Amino acid sequence: MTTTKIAPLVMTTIEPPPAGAFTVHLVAVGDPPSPTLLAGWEMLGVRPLAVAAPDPGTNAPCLLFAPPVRGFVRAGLTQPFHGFIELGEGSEALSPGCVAAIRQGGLALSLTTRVASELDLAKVLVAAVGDRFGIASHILGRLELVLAEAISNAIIHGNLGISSEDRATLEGVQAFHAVMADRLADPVLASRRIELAVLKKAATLTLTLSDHGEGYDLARELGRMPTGSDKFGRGLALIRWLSHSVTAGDGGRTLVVTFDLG
Amino acid sequence: MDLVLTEDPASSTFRLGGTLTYRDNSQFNRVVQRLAVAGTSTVTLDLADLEYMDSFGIGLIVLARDEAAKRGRKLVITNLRKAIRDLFERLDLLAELPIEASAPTAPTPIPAADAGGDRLQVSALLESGADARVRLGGRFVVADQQLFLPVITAISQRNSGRVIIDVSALTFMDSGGLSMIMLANDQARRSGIVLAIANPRGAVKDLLKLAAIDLIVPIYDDH
Repeated sequence: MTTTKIAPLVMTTIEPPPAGAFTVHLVAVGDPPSPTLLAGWEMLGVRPLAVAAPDPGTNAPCLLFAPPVRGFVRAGLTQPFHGFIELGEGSEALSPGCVAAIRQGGLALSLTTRVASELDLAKVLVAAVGDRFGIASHILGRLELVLAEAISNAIIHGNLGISSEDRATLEGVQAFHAVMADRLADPVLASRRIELAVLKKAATLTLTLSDHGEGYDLARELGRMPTGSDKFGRGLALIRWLSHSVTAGDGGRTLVVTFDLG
Repeated sequence: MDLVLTEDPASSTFRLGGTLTYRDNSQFNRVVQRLAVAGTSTVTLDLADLEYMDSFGIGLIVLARDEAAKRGRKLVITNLRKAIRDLFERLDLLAELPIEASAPTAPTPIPAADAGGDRLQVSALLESGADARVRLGGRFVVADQQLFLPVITAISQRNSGRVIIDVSALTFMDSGGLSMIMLANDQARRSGIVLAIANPRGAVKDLLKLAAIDLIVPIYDDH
């Protein structure tokens, strides 16, 4: 019999980032940041300053704003950058979790659903987090699985609005992938953002993931314990089993997961 | 990065030297701007003197390729040093970039972790006495569930013996992969046969243990 500690679940309003504007350096590849993006970030307390390259002589975090090329995503998560923002629709918005992480030396990532679904984001992110924060390999293993589950949920159930029913048969799996392909072909749904932030403070690693879907009763889903023979629906249970705490907010659109590094 | 442009009526050649990193974003923009100018001439990136590039530099090269495709321009990348060629090979970019044949370099074996990318690899069903064995490799995630469907179909067509899923080369699996294993087990029961999992390693072994799959599906080592 496997005995597993289950992370406490808390439903709350996700806290906004600390008050007061702060400067973020922005390296843009291709199109320069639009006035809409700059105005949107100002409203979030982020004062973006366009620069040609990261400046090692400043404490201001530097973000990469670029087309969704794999090399750029990896580069944006690697020193001296503190995050990658996919150039395009919706890029003027940043989640409070991303703003807080950028401000405190963490990593932030903002991608459209289409791009997030094409990249193996969990693998890319866990490598970046390991390099950046020097996290032990057993924690990184747990983080990778939690990232994979949380990102899948944000894409499938969040931004694409696909229910988790009817995947218990071969036909159900085929139908699910057909629906997923249809919805990824919908420009409105495919351009919704997935925003992800990772922050290490003292002995805690915090992962914040937000989607822009209709929201759902995450507390009810998190509270459901799958049985051994269930053929699907283990994702959220795995997140609870592998983490220290799980917080859901913003009507089920934001998930905050912590890992105890001590 | 050193960047030297030479032109003639038929082509523009940028010779890149030194290192190509995030520091070269502005300078590389000259290449992108040249691709954006209307015309039919070929733009060549000569990498003969390029010694190193980071992931940002790779992004810039891919960006140039995309810009050329968007503008209908011909882009050629030539004279790769061995280190750069090896880097492109590891990232599966050799076939994706317009690289012109140049003096051959000794091929470098692709590390197992990078071979064929990380997508799920599913072998054919191999018969062994009354049993059949299928080998999985790479990463088994939701996006690749459909690659596993032929295994479930094959299980539905059997009526005796065991089907063994050898996962020794599987490096990662999420609940999407686990769901497909459980679906395969369901199908095996309906077909009156036994499904077993062989040789789980690392993260896959941890996941199977965490989800208590061994209570439902026999798991063993035979290596």
